[in-house]
Amino acid sequence: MKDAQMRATINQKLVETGERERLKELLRTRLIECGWRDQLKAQCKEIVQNKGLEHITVDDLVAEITPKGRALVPDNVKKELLQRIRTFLAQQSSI
Amino acid sequence: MVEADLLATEEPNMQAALDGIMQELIDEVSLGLCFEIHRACKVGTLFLADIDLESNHDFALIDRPGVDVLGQAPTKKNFECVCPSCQRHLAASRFAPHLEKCMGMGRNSSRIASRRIANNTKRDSDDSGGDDENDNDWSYGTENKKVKKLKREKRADSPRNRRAGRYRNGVSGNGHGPSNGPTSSQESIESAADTMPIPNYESMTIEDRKALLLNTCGVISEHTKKMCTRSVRCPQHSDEQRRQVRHLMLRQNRPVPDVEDIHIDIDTYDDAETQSLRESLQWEASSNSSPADSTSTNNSTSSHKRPQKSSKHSGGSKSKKQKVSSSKNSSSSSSKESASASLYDFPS
Repeated sequence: MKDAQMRATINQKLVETGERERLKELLRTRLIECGWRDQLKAQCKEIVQNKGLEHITVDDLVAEITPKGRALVPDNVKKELLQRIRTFLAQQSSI
Repeated sequence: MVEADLLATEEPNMQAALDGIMQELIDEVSLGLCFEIHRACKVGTLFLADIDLESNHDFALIDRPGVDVLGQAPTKKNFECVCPSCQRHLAASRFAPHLEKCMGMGRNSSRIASRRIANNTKRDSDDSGGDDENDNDWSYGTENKKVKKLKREKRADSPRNRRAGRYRNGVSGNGHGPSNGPTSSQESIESAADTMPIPNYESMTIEDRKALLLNTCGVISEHTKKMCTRSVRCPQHSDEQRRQVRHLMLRQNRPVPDVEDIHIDIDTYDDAETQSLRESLQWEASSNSSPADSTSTNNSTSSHKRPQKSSKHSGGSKSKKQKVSSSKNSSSSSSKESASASLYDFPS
């Protein structure tokens, strides 16, 4: 089975059960707790000041922030999230 | 079952798929943040919470001994108030008690204040006691002014007019102070001759007193030493009290040598006792009689109204003496004035 296909299958399962929303909420909480959000926000302000308040667009921000955001997520948060997904999948397969 | 197979068979692919899903989630969260920041930019709230370095420097807290956090030396601030009544400067904490005394709002202080105002009025006569006019504590002085005004209109041609005006200044503060107000020789004689406890009324002529007593109850309170300014039928005081005060007020002027010869005839000191008895009898009798009685007596002696008026107080039995006296009284203006004054007679 291909990688993309498996991803789509798991995603569908997560969305159907509502687990994806729960996971996202958990992730957001964890990222706020560890200061990831504040770090990114400070970087956003720098970007805005460089570009000028009037000329900033969402695309500019997304393009700059997304790679930084990925890099800045702490490992333990990543591990917790992965563990959650695995547990979910195990529950689903045991049913 | 499919998932179980996936987990079991394709573990490395599975790992990659999970990583991908995790990245998606992280990207979604950062996308949310980007939207939020962008919105804050456009609305203008992005930098609101920032610290302004310039003002941070200007308004930095100062931590030095001897000064407060703003760098100012601690100075004791004296809040002072100026009393609107006596223009004195007072500490704010003392202002309210002072005002109570000065403006005469308290129970005792009203007496103190009115006394003080009266003294001031004596010193400079243009400062009339205007504060007292709206006083709840009805005073003899204000009512007296009204009476004086009435009388002044009536006898515009009378020589006594001037004197009445002067009394107004003397009395206006409803003063309980010593009667040093009058300046003319006759008045000083009057006030010297009088040793009555009533403080200010001695400076009035008998005419003024009568006019006052005709209009008002006039009973002098033991506490305030002021006259009751209600009508003659005021329920607070008895007829007995009114009679006493009238007796007192009219008698005290008798020994005074009167220039104008108006009331010397009414009584002498000798029959003062019998007079008071008769007076009291007459009062009771007249309280039952109709107003027609008094008008008939008025008519009978219409040419000599002023003695007639005094007979209202001293009793009808005095009419003989009054006729004698009225022959002395030759001023034509007085008859006019007393004719109008008879309007203020008690009906009974």
